[in-house]
Formats: sequence, C-alpha cells, structure tokens
Amino acid sequence: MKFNFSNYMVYIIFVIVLLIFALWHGEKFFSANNILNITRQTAMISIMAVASTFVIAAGQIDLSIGSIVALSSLVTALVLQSTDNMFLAIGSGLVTGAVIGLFNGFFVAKIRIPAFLVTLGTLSLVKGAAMWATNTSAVPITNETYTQIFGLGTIGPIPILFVWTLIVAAIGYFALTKLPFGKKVLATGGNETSAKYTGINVARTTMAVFALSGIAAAFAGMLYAGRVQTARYTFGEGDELSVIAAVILGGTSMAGGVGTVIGSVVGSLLMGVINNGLIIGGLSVSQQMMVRGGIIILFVTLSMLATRGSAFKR
Amino acid sequence: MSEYILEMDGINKSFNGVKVLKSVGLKIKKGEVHALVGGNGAGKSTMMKILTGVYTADSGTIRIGGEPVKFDSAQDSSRYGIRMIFQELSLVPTMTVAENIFLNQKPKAKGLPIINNRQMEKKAAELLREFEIDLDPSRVVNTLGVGYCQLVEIAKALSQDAKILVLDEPTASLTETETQILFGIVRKLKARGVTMVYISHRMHEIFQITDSITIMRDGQHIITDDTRNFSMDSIIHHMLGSTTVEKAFKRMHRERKPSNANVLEVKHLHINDKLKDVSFELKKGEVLGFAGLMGSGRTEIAEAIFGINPAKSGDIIVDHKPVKIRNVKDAIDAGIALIPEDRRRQGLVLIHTVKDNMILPVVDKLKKGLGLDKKRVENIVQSKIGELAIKTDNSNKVISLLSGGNQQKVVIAKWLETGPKVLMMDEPTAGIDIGAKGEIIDMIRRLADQGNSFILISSELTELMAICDRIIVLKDGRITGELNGDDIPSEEVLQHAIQQ
Repeated sequence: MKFNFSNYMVYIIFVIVLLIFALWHGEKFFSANNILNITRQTAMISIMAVASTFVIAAGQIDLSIGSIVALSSLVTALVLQSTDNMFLAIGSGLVTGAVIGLFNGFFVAKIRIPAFLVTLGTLSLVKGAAMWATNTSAVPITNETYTQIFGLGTIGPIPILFVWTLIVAAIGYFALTKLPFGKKVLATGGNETSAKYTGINVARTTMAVFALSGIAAAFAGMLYAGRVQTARYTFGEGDELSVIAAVILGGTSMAGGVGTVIGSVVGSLLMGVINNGLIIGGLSVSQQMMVRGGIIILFVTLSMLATRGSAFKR
Repeated sequence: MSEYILEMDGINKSFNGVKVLKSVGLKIKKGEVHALVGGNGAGKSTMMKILTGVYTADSGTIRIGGEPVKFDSAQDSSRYGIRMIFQELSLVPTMTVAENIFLNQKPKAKGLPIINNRQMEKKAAELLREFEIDLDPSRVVNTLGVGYCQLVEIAKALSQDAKILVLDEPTASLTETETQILFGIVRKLKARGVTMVYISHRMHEIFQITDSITIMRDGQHIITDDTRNFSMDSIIHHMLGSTTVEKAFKRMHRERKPSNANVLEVKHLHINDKLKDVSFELKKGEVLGFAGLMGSGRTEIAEAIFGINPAKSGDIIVDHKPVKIRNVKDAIDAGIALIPEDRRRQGLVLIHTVKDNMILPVVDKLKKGLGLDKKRVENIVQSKIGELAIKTDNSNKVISLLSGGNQQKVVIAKWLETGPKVLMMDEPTAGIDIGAKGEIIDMIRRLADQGNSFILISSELTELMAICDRIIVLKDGRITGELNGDDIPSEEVLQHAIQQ
C-alpha cells in the first residue's frame, strides 16, 4: 500500500513535540519519573478516547462523558461507603455508565435525534444528578484495596493507571480491527444506508457504541476517585472536549467510517505531554490554555493539509 | 470564422504518470448535438473537465470559434459560455428552486445590495415556463425527486447565457416522462443555436437526439462521424475494439433449463397502498425479469422481500418453507440477497477497501477464536476477485477508486458469498460501461446455468431479453402480464407491453 503521510501524522507530531520539550527542558522533562507521571495524568482521557473512537467512527458524538465520570465516581464511592463491598461498588459504577450510554443510544438510534443534542441534554441531566446525589459534597474513599487497584498502585515502576490504559487500549484495538463488531461500527459510520442494505442492525450497533462510551466514562470516573481517594461532582468537567480532540488528532474521521484506537491514545498522550511541558516551562494557567488551544488548531490543520495533499496526488 | 465552434487538438493529460488522454482531438460544429461515447475510463470525463477548466491539459490547444483560449479555472471557461451539467448534483437541498437557479447572480433590488426575492422567483418561473418544466420555483429542492433536481440543474446552467452545454449522463436518474422533457429542452436549445456535448451510455438516446458522434477508447480518439452513419453494432464495435461483448447481448439457449421446483413463492403480498396484492413464483435455476417503468413498483417488491420495508401481509415461501421476513437479517437467513439499485449509496461503503466491503455480510460467520479468520477472509476475497474478474491492484484498495463496473462486481461478490438461494438484482448494469455490462450479463447467464435463481429488475429491455427465461410486466403496482423469454419477437413488443 502507498505510504499515506496523514495516517501517521499524529505519531510524527508526537515525536517532534517530545524532541522539542527534551531539548528545551532536558532532564526535567525527559526523566522516567516525569514520563510515568504523564501516563498517570492522561490515563482517564486515554481510556475515554478509546471508547469515543468507536462513537466517532460510527458517525456519532458523545458529549455526556464528563458528567458520567462525575456521577459514576459518586455512585461507586457511595456504595463502597455503605457496603464496603468492592465488587458491588465497581458493578454499580459501571452499570450507571452503561445505563446512561444506552439512554443516549436509544434516543439517537430509535427516536433518531442527532447525537449532539441528545448527549448535550444528557450532560446537563447527569451533571445535575451528580450534584444532587450528595448535595455537592465530596465522598471520601477509605477502602485501601480499592484505591491501590484503581488509582495509586504501581506494578514495578509502572503506575497502575497506565496499566489500565494499556489494557483498555488493547481491547479497543482488537475489537475495532479484528472483531465483526468493529467492521459493523465502521460500516455504519461509513455509509449507514449501505450497512442497512447489508443486514447490519444499525440501531443496535449505534446503541452499543454509546453503551461502550458510557462504560468507559464510568470506569474513568472510578479511576479519578481512586487516585484522590475521594469522589466529587466536579470530576470529568470539560473532559469531553479533551477526549474528542485526542480522537480527532489521532486520525479518526469526524465524518465516520474511519477510526484508529492507537491514534486516539497517542493523541491523548500528545496533549498530556504538551500540558506537562508547558507547566515545566513555567507558563501560567491562562497562558497554558491559550497555547493548548492554538496547538490543537495547528495540528488538526497540518493533518488536514496532509490528507488533502495526498488526495491531489491520486 | 471557422465552421467549428469548438476545436480541441492534441490534448494530453497524465495523472501520477499515467497517461489518461493521448493526443485527443475533438471538433464540434456550431449548433449540433454531439455525442461523446466510450467505456468507463475512456477519457470522456477528463476531456470535458479540461474543456470546462476543472483540469488543465498538459499540452494541446483549445479553440472556441477559431480563437485560441486557455482555461485555468471554471470561471475562465464560463466566460466563454461553456456550461456543464455534472453527474453529481450541485444543488443546495435546503434552498428553493429559484434560489438555486440564481445562486451566483441573485437579482438585486434597485441600487441596494438586497436580494429581491419576488423578482428572482418571477425570473425563475419565466425560465421554467420557457422550457416547459412544470415546477413551482418556490419549492424547496429537497422535496423534489431526483429527476426534477436534474431539470433544475439544467435550468440553472441556462440562467446564464450558454453557448456550449455539456450534459454528462443527464438521463441516468430520469423517468421516461422526464427524459422526454429533457429532450424537448435539448431540441429547443438546438433551435436557438446552442451547441451541446451529450455523454451517455444509452444507445437509443444517442440515436434519438444527437447529430454526430465521437467515440473514445483508452484515452484515444477513435472516430467522429454523423450519427446516421453509425449503427448500434458499429458503435459498440468501436467502443470495445472487439466483438466479445456483442455476444453477451444476443439471446442464447440456456445450457440447462430451469427446474420445475419453485425456489421462491410470493403470495398475496400487501406492501403499501400501491402494491396490495403481489403474487409470483421463481423456479430453481430460472432468471425472472421484472419489466416496468420507474414507479411501477419493481424496486418496492424487491425491497419488501429483502426486508428493507417488510410487507404488511402475505406469504413468502423459500424452498417450500414459509419464512417470516421482518428485517434484512431475516431475509439473509432465509437465503435471499439483493443487489440494490443505487450502488454508491446502498451497495457499498465507498471509503472502505474492496476486502472490507466484500466480507461485510458474512463477517459474523468468519469468527475464529477471538478474532476473524484471516486465512478464510483472504481466501474468499482472492477467489471472488478471480472468479468475477474484478480489476483492482489489490484487495486493500479503497473501493471508490475502482471503476463503476468493478465496484458493481464487488457488490455481486459480497452477496454471492452468502450463498443465496434467490439473488435479486435491481438495475445491476446502471451507470457502468458497456464492456462491464456485457460481463455482468454473461455472469448471470453462467451462474443461472449452475442452478442459481435470479430476479432481474432492469430498464434496459435488451438486457432482459438477452437472459430472462420469463419476464413479468408491472404497471402501477400490478402485474399486468407475463412473457416467455423465448417468445419475445422484438424490443418493441416488450416496450409496448410496458407502456400500455
């Protein structure tokens, strides 16, 4: 197959950004400690980006993930507080995410409301529920097994959060490229009419990707809670935008039909690296925000130009 | 002043080092309707895109009315009165007919930069009336059928003064009535001295409406002459440079007669208000044709049997067993397949590869362990590419880069792989070049001889006559006749049966 520059854009940019920060900050940036720290900070976005790759590849979008993070972290913490049963707590958290995901999927696939509107509504609905659940107060987590497995632990030098990222990414990669399910998601996103004429249950596929997205967001919420030993309604605020940016930077098509899980994870890491490098560089929070916004536009532009360039050469 | 309004000489064009036009010449006299004919990939579209300034030729000259010109953009050619109606419709679906017609040149209120809607609609109405297009200019375009969209497209091109009008397959999506409206417009324009280039795969239209013909093959000019000096056979001969395909359209005796056993029985199917009681049967190894005009219900019947819009009541019996079809999956499980009418929209995921498209209907059966059985996938894809002679560099090529004929073969391949007992094909040769048409006709004949059963829906009567054992005639949702394939003396007889 012909080498398509645009397919590898995110990896090239990633390496260039690493080099720039390594030259700029030296040891401060390019130490094992700092790199592992970045993987810890980006784990939740990466995990949600894996699931969002399916959503966006299916031609949909999920804006409600940030609110699902908040609600399921609280559900998990509350169940843990009252029963001290870890499995029950994890189960409740994940089911919360799955139910909200199916709720989104139902309105998108069956009632046929655009996903943008449905999930925007859900965002507010679920966020409100999260604030209401504990009257905006935080819920502490004292179960140490839980906080070790879902946040603070390490395996050797590797943070457990990064291990979770790798596991989810591996499952996502396998499901999208090697399973019939992945082919159905891509076909649905690539041409819904044709998918229907091929006997694919388009509604079920769409509901499934929203359920996956809800579950991944719930899992991310549980990791947030484990990491700071507390659940809070503010968790996940604005994460939907970071996740979508990571997925698009990674090379998944906003128009549907094309998706890359590995690209999404690298996209998420790329944004983590930029955040980290800017902090070490001593930029203020406001400066960081501006640079981050500019960089996203710059990179997506580069990637688009590369795609268009290859289209001309055809 | 030259006798020719358009002279293109020695036009060369390469893409990626591949020569698609080899020193092509094209001369067209003022006021004539000139057919440009050739298989897919012959270079017709590239030639017209150079004329309209979309592409720039690598070398060669263009003269308009004897004056040498150089076009670097569509605006340049537009200034010389050259207009093209594209195959892909370029209307804005949410705007009205009038707004679309005057998209680039909205009539302004006097002295103000404000669009005068009333005046615009009045001018649009005049234009439509002039060409006898019965259409309300205030209608929003997305409420119109494809045929009317095409007519609006033409009105749009004519709203500015046109000297040379290029029509690229203008009738591909038109009904017979709409085609006649279009021909009326063409004749009117001709009377006014507008020169037209007419690209079409439909032979009878070429003979009906054009004055002269240029035939291209493999990026080269083959012949130009008056239409009356050609016959259908001679055109096909020049297009193909060989005679293999002509044979495909000749009626041949089947090697194997259809058996007496019914593979499909349809009884009293109630599909919608138009199709209330449809009954017919299909025998094993038979090719059953559905003839009828657009809107006669041909496609609806196939889509009901295939579960796209399931029937409200009635029985469908496959291999003597009644089956319940509520969705496409039920139909596939019952052994029914449909090659849909619109290959690009319904048949394929255009941005995906040949391989991914081909395995999609059977993807659930290809599981092995946790993932897909790579070896079996590869086997299926390679054997189908070989069997159906699909021309592609490799199976990972994105399917939109294949020619129409090869795309259609992939659609057929994907359904053959499901091992269907009944294979329905809705206009399987629409919009593909005559060489590929012949191959597909031949393929159906071969597969039927192997005992496969087909329902063939087609507007091309020569096709139906060439391979069908039986032809059912449909009109306004009712079966009005049945003809034995061996007893049809001529195309006129079948045409008459459809039109009556």
